[in-house]
Amino acid sequence: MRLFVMFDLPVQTSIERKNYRRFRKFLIENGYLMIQYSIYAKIILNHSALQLQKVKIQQHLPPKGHVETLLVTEKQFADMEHFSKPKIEKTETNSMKRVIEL
Amino acid sequence: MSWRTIILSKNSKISLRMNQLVVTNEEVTSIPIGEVGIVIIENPNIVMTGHILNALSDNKITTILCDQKHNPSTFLHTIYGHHRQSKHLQAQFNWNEMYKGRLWQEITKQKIYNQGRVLFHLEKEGVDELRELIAGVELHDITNREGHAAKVYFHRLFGADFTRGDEETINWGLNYGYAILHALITRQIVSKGYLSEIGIHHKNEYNQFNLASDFIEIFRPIVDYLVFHYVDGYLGKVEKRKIIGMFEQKVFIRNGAHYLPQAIQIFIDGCFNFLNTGDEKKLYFPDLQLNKFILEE
Repeated sequence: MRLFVMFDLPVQTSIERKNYRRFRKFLIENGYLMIQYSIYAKIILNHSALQLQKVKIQQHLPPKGHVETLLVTEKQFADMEHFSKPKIEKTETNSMKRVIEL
Repeated sequence: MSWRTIILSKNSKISLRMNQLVVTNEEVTSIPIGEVGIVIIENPNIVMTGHILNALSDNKITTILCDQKHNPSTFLHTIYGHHRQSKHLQAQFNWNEMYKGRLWQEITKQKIYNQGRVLFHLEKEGVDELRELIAGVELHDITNREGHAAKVYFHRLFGADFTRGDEETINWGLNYGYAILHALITRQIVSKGYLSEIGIHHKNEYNQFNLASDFIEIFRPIVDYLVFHYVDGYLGKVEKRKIIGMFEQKVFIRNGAHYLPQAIQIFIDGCFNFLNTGDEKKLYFPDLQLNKFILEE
């Protein structure tokens, strides 16, 4: 499964920009991959991992702005169609492969 | 949630950035630390930073370094693995002699049973002999049925002229697989806050990993089976990959199929629970249902 996190955060003042950076950094440090600007997704193995991620997001929620999450299955994620977008280069970490050779 | 195995075989640099393991060779790959369970550093020409080594040990990631011959030689081992280590160590030193005997008896039985599974699956003889040996396993295995079983088993599996000590490919393959399993089990023991030096049956003063040597027994037949299948007169990169493939195999334990590293965790948790409480219901043993193993050609 993939958990999508989508956000719209205000970046008018320097405090708001700081909050935005902090949230984005939290996502990357927790293993979210950027799909597009403001859209991040993470591989979720089971429902207890999902609960944990939701709690973590709650704890790191920026004070202003909108944050949405969406859970899709691996199949739905794989069926995502890309229009006018170059192919993703880093397929290794984007896959569910359990053994990776680098 | 650590489930990935990373094998590093090219000249590269590994470092830590934003909580991700960054591998830099011709291209840059970053993998979230939380997803990584095992890192096998196969190429001695890998440059690493202290930060990544700390992150690997903090996250209890089994990190195995291989020597020039690509055999596992070193692994990263934290000094303090658990926040209640002192309490657990006290418990470990006072484990009931009776419980230890019982656990070793059960481990031996299940090991011989799993060996039988391998022979049965490969349509070899000797299953009945092993079955008889299981019935005779006593407390602490004082009659050493384990040794007898191993003799019967290896002769039936690899032929009558096979000896475990010989310098030849089958033994190299077995040693390779066992070494990786050993590292995985030691990591589990340390991360639960116990000492790997103090075993329940193995008491070799030269062995740092007595407890791991106790727990590994039950899983050895998996390696034996893979080596039987893939190692034939030559042990190269391909054969080693096949042996490492055991991490992608599922093992039947606690009423369900789990990936090998998960199964090891369930088994070891059960053992510690039993040794601390004496409650046999808390013990779970892996059962090798080899017909469910997926072997690629």
